[in-house]
This record gives sequence, structure tokens and C-alpha cells, in this order.
Amino acid sequence: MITFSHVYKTYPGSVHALRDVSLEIHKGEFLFLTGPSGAGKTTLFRMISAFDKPSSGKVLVAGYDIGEMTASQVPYFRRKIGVVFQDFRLLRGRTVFENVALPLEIRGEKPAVVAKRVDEVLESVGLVYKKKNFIEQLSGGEQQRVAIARSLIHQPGVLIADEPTGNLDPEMSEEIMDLLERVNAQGTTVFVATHDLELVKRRSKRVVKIRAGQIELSQ
Amino acid sequence: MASLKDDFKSFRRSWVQHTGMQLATLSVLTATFSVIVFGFALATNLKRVLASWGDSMRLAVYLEDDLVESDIDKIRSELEKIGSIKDITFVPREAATESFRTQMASYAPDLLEDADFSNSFPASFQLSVKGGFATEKDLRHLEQLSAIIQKIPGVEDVSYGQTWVKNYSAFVSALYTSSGVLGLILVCGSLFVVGNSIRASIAARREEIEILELVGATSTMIRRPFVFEGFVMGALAVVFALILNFGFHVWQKSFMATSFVMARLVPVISFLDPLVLVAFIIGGGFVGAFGAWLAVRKINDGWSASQGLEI
Repeated sequence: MITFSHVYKTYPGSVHALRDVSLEIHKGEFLFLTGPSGAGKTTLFRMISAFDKPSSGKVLVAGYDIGEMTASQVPYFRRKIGVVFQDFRLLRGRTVFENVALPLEIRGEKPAVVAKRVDEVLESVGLVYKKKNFIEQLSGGEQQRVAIARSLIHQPGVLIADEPTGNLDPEMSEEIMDLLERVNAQGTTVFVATHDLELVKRRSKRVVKIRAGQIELSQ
Repeated sequence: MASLKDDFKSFRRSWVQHTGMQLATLSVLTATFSVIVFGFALATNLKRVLASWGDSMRLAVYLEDDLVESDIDKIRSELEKIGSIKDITFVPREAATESFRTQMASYAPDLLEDADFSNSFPASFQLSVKGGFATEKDLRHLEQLSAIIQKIPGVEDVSYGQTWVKNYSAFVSALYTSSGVLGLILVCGSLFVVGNSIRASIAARREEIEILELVGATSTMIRRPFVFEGFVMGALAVVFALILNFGFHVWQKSFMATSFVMARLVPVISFLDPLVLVAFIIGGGFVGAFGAWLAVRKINDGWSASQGLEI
């Protein structure tokens, strides 16, 4: 599903963000990416979500070669993945429904199809009763669940989550991780970056540790 | 995402979120378009006034002194053969003298007592030209016409106020050229204003754009609402500019009606034709859309769009 093969990423000023990274993530896997700040987690995620290209090596995600992808292919590739951020990245001034529906509206789906699918996905994250609420009216945990619902509405093969629990209390963090596990149980590959090692320990999942741009451990 | 309804929703949202900025943009655009509309209306009405003056212009064909009636008839028939002449009026020597006396009576009564002035004016034909006179092309036509008439036997001289006509023609040309140049400068200014407004709007909505990129919106999907916003802003500004100018036009007409000198121009003066109004509104929309397009053409250029994003 995701393959990194001898990937290097060097930014101007000879900043080596990734060095000879090779990694294989299989379809339906759930894994954590951990490592200190500046280790290269962000760069790795930027490549998976086509926000950056490798300087050398090969990155394959859902059948797309990120290094060879043209600018016009990027939006269509992004429609095949789901991305969740620590800061939720939701549209203020819009309702839960409008935020969650966005990926399907972009694809030009019919309103009836969109409405049905939004209800389904909000049901799965337990927020169907808040679909008419504005984002500003939700708690942090609820906002993250909306972000997850938005990332799942188009049934992506891969869901990447960057510090999805970074802004949440421990109880809410557990809820979000449970939700991500449920998503994974339905066949979606889930890749979560986190600093929270306790949270990682409590889940028996594959862990990839990265330090100074190199994979230190993949177990 | 791509429906007109969504574009309007986006426009409304932009107004609600950035009311002050949008109002400022609309005001500046309205002021700019007001000047353009004013210039155009002024040029159009001056053209009408000048054309009405041109219509009243006459060619005087002065005849030699020793002509008999049959010679005069021959000249008339020669003049009638010329297609571009609208009407021909013969003015005998006595009528010309009498006309002069009538006009000069109050200014120089002593002069009229002079015997030399009693019969010193030649007989003439007064001609009016089809299509009036309003442009430099008409001036050339008038010169050619004058040269043809001059060659008719028995014609002493042809006069149409050559100096006045040349000055008049140069004034009309200068008016059109300066209006065009001013219009062009103001249109460029409008593009700049719209572009800056849209750039500010992009900056204010950067997060929204990033989210749209994230969920797979194409460049067209992201740029379209901004271009639409530019179109609506441009068209709206022209509508307001037209309303302002119409108000000024009504006031100007009522003011002119009270003036003895300008009152006779009132029937000639009118506001812009409905088709021109529609063309202005659509044109304003396109100027706005083009200005917006110039501002957004570089956003969301595939890979480069993502450079500012942090995951």
C-alpha cells in the first residue's frame, strides 16, 4: 500500500530530512510513527500525502509514484487518501455537515448521495446529532472526530493522522484511538504519528521509530 | 463545488467574513468606474452636441456678379447632381444684403448708411450636407466637395468656415483620443484594485484554500470562486457607478434647463443607451474577473501549492 525505497530528502542548505528510508506498509495495517521533533516524521507524512517529492528513491502510495506524479494528478491522488491533523483543519463558519461533505462535493457527487454518506460516517463517529452545529460549537474531541469523519467519507485506502490526539485530554485521546482502530478494522490502512509513547504502548501495533532522518526501528 | 449556487455562497461568505475590506474594494471600484462612465457619457453627449452643430453647418457657394438667370439655373442643376448635398437654397444679392442689414442694424447703424454696402454682397447657394459633420473623415469629404463645386463655371468661391471646421474636427479627434487613453488607464487601475482585493481575500482565506487542496480540490475549483467574486464585484461597481452617473445626469439636465444659453442643448443630451448600460455592466464584470484571475492564477499550482503547508 505504501512503499518507501531508499528515499532521501534534502532541503536547500544541505538539510537532510530523510536518509535512505526504506519502509513497507501493507494494505489494512495499523502502525505508529514515533520519534523526536525534527526526526523526519513531518517530511515522511508530506511525501505520503503528496505535499513533497523525494530527492531520490521511490515513494509509492495507493499505486501512485509520488516522485513521478504531475501537478494535475495531485488532487486526484489526494482524493484516494485521508489525512487528519493535530489542529483539525476544519472550515470555520461552516457546519459539521458542510465540513464532512466537502470531499464528496469536490468529486461532484449528487446531494442525496452526499447526505446519505455524511449521515453514515457521522453515525460511525457518534456525531450525527450535531451535523447542523457549527465547528465553533464543538469541543476539541468532537472537532477531531469531525476531521476523521471528513477523512473517511470518500472511503480512502489509506488514512494518515499526524498527532491526532496532540490537542486532546487522555480520555478523549483513547476515544480517538479506538475510533481509528475501528476504521482500520474495516480495511483501511492507518498510519499514525504521535509523541505519546504511553498511548503507543497500550495498543499492540507495529511501531516505526525515526531519528535524524533514518528509520531506527520498525517492529 | 462547481455550481453557481456554491459560487454565490462563497461570495456571500466572503462578504460576511471580510465586510470592511469588501466595502472598501467596492467603493474604490465604484469610484473608478464612475470616472470611466462619466468620461464615456461626456464623450457621447459632446459627440451628439457637436453633431447637432455639424448638422446646422452650411456651405456657401458664392456666384460671379455677371450671371443671368439661366446661368444660375445651370449651376443649381450641377449642384443637384452631387449626391451628398441634402438641400440647396438660392440667396439673391438683395436677400444677402438685407440679411446683413438686419443682423448689423443694432451694431453699426452708420455703416448701413454707407452706399457701398447697399449692394455689395454676391448671390449665393446655401448648401447643407447629408449626414452632417462630426469627424475628420467628414472634414476630408467637405474639402473634396468644395473642390468639385469650385470647378463649376460661374462659381466665384466656396466657403464653409474652413478654419472653424478644422478646429472643430481637431477638437472632436482630441476628445475621442483622450477619452480612450483615460479609459484605458482607469481600466488598468481597476484591474490593479480588483487584483489587490482578491489577493487580500486569498490571504484571509489561505486556511480554507489549504483545506480544499487537502481534500483534493483542483486548481479550477479553488480559483473559480475568486474569479466569480471579481466578476460580481466588477459588475456591482459598474451598477453603482451607473446609478451615480444617472443621478448626476438628471441634476445636470435640470441645471441646464434653467440656463438660457444651455437650455437648447437639453433635448440633445441623454443618458447612455440601454445596450451600452448592459455592455458596461458585463464589461465591468469581465474587468473584475480578469483582475481576479491575474491574482489567483498562481495559487494552487499543483505541487507548488503545497509548499506552504505543514503537516
